[in-house]
Amino acid sequence: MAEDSRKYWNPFTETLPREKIRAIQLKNLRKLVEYSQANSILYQDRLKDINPEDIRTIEDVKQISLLEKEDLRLAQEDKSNFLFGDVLGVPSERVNHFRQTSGTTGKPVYVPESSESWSWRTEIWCHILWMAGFRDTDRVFIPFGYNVYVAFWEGHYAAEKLGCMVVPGGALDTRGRINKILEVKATGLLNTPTYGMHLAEVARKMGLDPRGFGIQRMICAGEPMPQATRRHLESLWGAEVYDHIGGTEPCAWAGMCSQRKGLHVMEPYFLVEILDLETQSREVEVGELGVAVVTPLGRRSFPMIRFNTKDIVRKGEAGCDCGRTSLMIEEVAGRTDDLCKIRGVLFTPVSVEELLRAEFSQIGEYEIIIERQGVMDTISLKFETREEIEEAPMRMLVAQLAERLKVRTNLRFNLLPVKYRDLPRYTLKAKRFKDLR
Amino acid sequence: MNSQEKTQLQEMKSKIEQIEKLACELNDIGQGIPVIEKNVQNFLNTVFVLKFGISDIAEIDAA
Repeated sequence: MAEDSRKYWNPFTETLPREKIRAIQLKNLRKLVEYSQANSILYQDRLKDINPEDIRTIEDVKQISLLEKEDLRLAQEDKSNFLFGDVLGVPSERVNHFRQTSGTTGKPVYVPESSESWSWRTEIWCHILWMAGFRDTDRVFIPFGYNVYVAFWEGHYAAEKLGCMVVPGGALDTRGRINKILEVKATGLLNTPTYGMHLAEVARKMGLDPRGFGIQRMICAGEPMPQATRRHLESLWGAEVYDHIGGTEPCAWAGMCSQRKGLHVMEPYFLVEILDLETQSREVEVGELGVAVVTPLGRRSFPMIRFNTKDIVRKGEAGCDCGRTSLMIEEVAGRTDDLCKIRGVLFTPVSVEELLRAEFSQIGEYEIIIERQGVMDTISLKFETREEIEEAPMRMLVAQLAERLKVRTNLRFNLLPVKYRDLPRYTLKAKRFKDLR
Repeated sequence: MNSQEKTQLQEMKSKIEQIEKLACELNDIGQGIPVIEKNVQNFLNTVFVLKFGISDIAEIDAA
């Protein structure tokens, strides 16, 4: 163990045989059910017909109904227990971290964390950072004011725990952040994929090449990042770029190892089910797309059992060349919120992102707009090119793009080139998809 | 996991239990003293995390 032990954050959990992972998950699931029934008003009702002793196998978790974000909103509305309502799983005086969801899909959910639960969340992020190669010799720059949003706070605390020197980059503009990266000789970055691209774009406008900055690794949060976008970021920065998946409510629950071929589910800390998109009742087969349903097994301040993340993921095999034995996620394909039908064709915006980043490097910002004109749905793509393009090459670009989009999505797009900087820039979650129907 | 690693795991589990016990005893002695109560809570947070990462594995391994 000693020889290999520093390869993993926790060599015991990360290389555990599958049957032992399942045994620990089962034990902790029972404990969580019992705890939630005793301490959370929300679960006293939801679990009233469940006896923890009746959970004999992991599959028995399906006796419990899925927890939707709307359930959490309702559990916090008009409740006497200010501010967190019925979701709270500890006495309110033990809550010392306030976070909230971004509110992209409705009223934000307030997320209570006790110091114990926050330690547990931070520990999960330690796994993610360690797996991505962050060590105590790294100087990590986080180019955001983190506000009430969780991901960068988790990253900050976990990087500190690893022993990295953490440089918070809030209250600076993008140029100021670039100067700070150079000033402290940062070796690592934590940012959204969009902002990683924006930082590189601004650096180039300043006459600087980000590949010479000395950044060795970047870990992205906040948005889905197709492989094409990840590779694009790697080429922009000359650095290894790592993804992870998670959310404010369920914590980060999968991260990327040095193989960079998919995401490792953080087992045995989480129980993750990947259910079929239609009925959300059947576990999908390896290679199939499904929706991720997540149970964080060590969170007491905000107990959460079978949370429907609405993240669409492709299920992989368990195990990896890195030696970890956890279940793999092959791909994050988008969100069920964004999955829509246009003229009878199923469409997800990630397919456009993937195509643009893989094949049209001259395109920078873009926006997808769906509208109803009469009885017809139309889909438009506004886009900016990184450099000004003359009329004839632009016509060629539009023709190529139209053809590739048709092949990729089975839809005919209205293509609308716009001037450089006409489209909004984002630092946190980008809002490039607008369904106006 | 070889026998040396299993022994290492059981020893670590035992130490985690001792730390928890000592932290609780310290808390009892220092009841009402903020510097004790709040810092002991930090010890216990760490114990909670280590129970998930170490003690759980040791228990399943011993079963």
